[in-house]
Amino acid sequence: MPISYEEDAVFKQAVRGDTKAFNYFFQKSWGALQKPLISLTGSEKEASNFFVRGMTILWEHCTREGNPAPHNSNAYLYTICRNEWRLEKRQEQNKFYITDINSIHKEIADAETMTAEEVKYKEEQELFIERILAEAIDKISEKCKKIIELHINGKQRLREIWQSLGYKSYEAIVQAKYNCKKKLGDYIFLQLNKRKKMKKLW
Amino acid sequence: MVDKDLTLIERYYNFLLSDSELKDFESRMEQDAVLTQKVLDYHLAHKTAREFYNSAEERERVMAWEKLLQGDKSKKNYAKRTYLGWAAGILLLVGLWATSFWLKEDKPQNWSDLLVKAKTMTPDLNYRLLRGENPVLEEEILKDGYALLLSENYRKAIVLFSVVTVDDPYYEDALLLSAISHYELKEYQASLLTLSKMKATANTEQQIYLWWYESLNYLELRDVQKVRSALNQLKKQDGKIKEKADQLIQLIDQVEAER
Repeated sequence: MPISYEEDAVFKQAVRGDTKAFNYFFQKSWGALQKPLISLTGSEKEASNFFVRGMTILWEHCTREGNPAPHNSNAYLYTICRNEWRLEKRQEQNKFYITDINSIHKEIADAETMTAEEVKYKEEQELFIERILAEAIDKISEKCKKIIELHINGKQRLREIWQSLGYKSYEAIVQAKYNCKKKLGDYIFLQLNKRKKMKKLW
Repeated sequence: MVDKDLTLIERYYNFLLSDSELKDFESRMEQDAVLTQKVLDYHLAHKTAREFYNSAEERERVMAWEKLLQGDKSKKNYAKRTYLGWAAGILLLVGLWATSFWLKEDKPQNWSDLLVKAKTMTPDLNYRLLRGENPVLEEEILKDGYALLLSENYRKAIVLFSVVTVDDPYYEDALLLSAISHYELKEYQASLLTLSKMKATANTEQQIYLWWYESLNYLELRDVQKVRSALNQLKKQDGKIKEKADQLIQLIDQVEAER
């Protein structure tokens, strides 16, 4: 991927806590993508939601070690937002994997118009994901669990804990957190597939 | 097989597929329900992990971003009012200018016919979008814009092309398609301005469209001298476009003679 040195520096500065240039970049990107995202998603609210999600993914990408900012960040960001939006829409259409496993052919409508049965179905889905998540957390490394304990549950900043957890630098713990997140996602995915193959939920 | 798919999904999800791989993958996804389900599962799994790892620090950051967006909105409301004032003034001036123009210039009898004929002679936009340092992403956007252009959603198409040109102001394909959209919206000056930006770097194929649309725009503006000059550029080319340029010049000569 061609590198944009200017934007690369913007992200590096922002990770160090100096967000001035990043904020400018953020607003400039929003200015460029607002209209196409509104025409894609159909509303300004949706557009800004997906823009923030896209920017979160770009942030994760650019703050990881050895991952330079893309050459055309707006095009890249637009593609991320569009893919996220498309996948979300597809997910809505498919109404989750449980539909084909358990033959619970229920369409989730808006929360306001949900029947008692639909609410129950949604709760079952959430419970299913929670169980899979719990199993996956069990499988990640102790270091990853420590990050969860201090950073996620303990609300401590990565900047405050990287030394005590034995990381060489702040950037190293940022990278480690990303790796943990990736591993957790991979475990959840494996569990989903396993359950599907076994044709049972829990 | 599963491992192969998973590798592919991971690369898709991380935007690492090449141009041709991406095309194959997306068309496979349209037909292969099993693969689509795997992509959705992968998306759900990693979204769940992301949400689980969402720390207070990250939430603070996202909240700060949302504030930036809100700030942007209130600024825009102020700017909108200012722009509306300016726009009203400009519209008034343009209206006055157009009225005086139409009063002065008698519309030639066959000019409308000439415009229709010229437009029907336009070479088909059988166009491949090739250039780009980040080809997959830019091509994807251009393809979306091109589809909008073909479905006559010109305004939306222009907005999409601007995503490419904001970072790469001289991206010829985006400029050309944007200029065509402006032309279709009857924004001839904007179309000419956009075309002028690609003059220095357009390749031969792009030049054909560039000069053709320049001549169409000037025809609409009734600047015959500039129409001729654009068509003369096309006469230097080989093949059908040269014939079309000759034919259009003849038509113009006929209309001019009748005037």
